[in-house]
Amino acid sequence: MPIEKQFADSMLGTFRNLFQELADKNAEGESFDKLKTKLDRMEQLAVEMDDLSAFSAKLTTEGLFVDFSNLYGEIAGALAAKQYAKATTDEELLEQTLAAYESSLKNYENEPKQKPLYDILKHIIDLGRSGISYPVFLRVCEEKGLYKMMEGGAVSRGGLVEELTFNQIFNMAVPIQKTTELLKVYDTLSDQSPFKTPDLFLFGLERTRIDWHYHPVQNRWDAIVRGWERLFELVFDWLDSFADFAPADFRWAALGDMQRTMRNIKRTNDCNPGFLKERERIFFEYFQLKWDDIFTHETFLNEMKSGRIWYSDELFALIQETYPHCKPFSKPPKELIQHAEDIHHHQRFKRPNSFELTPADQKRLSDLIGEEKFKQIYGKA
Amino acid sequence: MCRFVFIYEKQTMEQRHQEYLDYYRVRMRKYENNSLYAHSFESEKKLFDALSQCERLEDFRAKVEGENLALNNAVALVKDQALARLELYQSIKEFVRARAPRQILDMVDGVGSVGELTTKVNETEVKVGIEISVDQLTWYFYSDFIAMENIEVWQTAEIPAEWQHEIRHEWVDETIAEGRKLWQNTVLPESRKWSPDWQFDFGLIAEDRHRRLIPVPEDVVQRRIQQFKTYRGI
Repeated sequence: MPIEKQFADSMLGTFRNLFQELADKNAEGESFDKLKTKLDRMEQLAVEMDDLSAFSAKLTTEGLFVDFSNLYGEIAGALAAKQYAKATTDEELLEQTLAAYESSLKNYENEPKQKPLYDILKHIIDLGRSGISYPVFLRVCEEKGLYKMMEGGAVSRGGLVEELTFNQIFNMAVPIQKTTELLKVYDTLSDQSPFKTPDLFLFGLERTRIDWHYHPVQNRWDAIVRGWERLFELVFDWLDSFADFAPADFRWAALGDMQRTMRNIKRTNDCNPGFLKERERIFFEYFQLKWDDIFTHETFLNEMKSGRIWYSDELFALIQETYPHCKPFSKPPKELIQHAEDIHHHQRFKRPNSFELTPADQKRLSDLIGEEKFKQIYGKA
Repeated sequence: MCRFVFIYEKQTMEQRHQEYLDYYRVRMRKYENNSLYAHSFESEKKLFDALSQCERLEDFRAKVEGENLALNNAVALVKDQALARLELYQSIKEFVRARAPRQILDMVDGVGSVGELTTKVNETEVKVGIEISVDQLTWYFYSDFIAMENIEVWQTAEIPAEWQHEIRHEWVDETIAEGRKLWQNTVLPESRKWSPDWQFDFGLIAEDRHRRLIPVPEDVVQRRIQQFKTYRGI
């Protein structure tokens, strides 16, 4: 069975378009034939293979992407050189350059996200049409950094601000630090540039350095959150496993098999304290953190502030109250079990609005990703 | 009349020559006193000097072609950027990533055209890109920590005797069997699509670029390495 059409189209679409673009310009010759062979091979693999990741790996390891790109560059370069060779005067060169920009401008006309790029292109074209000579046009473009801006400078800052806003909406601590730092570097490089746009190559290097710095920070953060979440869960399940609702609870219920259900419950009754002690040992071994350290730790405070702690305040206090009793071969005191039953029967276990955005953040997110996409995810505007 | 046209054209050509000089001066100054672009500055300076020394603008084109100045300019920029990347990757001990700029620097002076330069740079980036992906297969180790922690907890937790067979043996054996099956049936075939002879290389875990991503003390890592061997049957 071939790769699904939508995936094949998304992976090969660009290559098909590039090939067609050259065909439309009447490209021909040995390189163009080779280019066709490369595209044919990609199409053949899309039909022969059924696994998307294998298909992607094959395109890369067989060198089809790079061969196609190189051949395309060679053919397009030769076509452009031929075209420019026809131009004998500066005026003709200027005209050809501006015509190329005008053709690109059309692609960005109806793309709101590309407005900065559109504005830069428009500025360049207006400059070229202002009656100046070709070398003056080239010089002014360099002096004003218009080529640099065209590389995507203006677009990229907008992208960084959006990334930061997204991270702020979801209060993701490490990504916020990272994007804030990236934005700072971007602005510093802009300020240092005579064109007020950063050297994107240099920015790329700084981005690599910052990504490199934050990768282990994020891993540590995630591992700590995962560690204490598991500890809470073990205590929470342990207490509930003694409650009257346990036999009907999805955590233990084995459909139509009460004996198995009761065995599941007993396993939690008997084993969770031992599991908890081992998990605590590992958590301390990894991060030198104990149960009491969790509640003042930045990861916990951030997750609580962000509404990503599912347990209500009342249930969370009960978990903390239960913790000292959760020891191997022990049982929770009766009053704690009754409290758990009361919370469960009156459905006070879940923190109100946990895992929900505030109306203000919903608005920010809707503005950021667009109303339509927001509705798809959240089902409302 | 003829004399007037000649003088006018001469003045126009002189003015155009001057305009080109101004343009190439701006290009040169863009890189001036910027250590990142030392080669590019030299190369742009050569272009500017060449134009300055030409009596007539038309001579400049011949000089650019004759002395390969356009190619040298492209080579200079590639060299500057490769040197900067190499320095960065070495400073952060990303030695696999550093292969691309190093290989580019090794070949860059031998290219004969801008087209060849582009092709060789692209080929190097893709080749090293695959090597980076293969190197990152080392991350399978840390991503198995959850399973290994589970196994360790089940094996060592203080639990009543009635549960010991089920938890210490059945659960552990099932998890290990599943881990080995997944390794043989999925991880190995997927990884070998990128590198046909790929085997997990335990030596890479200690390399700084991988070790720094595992946020636990060294004695834990050593213990997990042994557990990983058992869990994945390597």
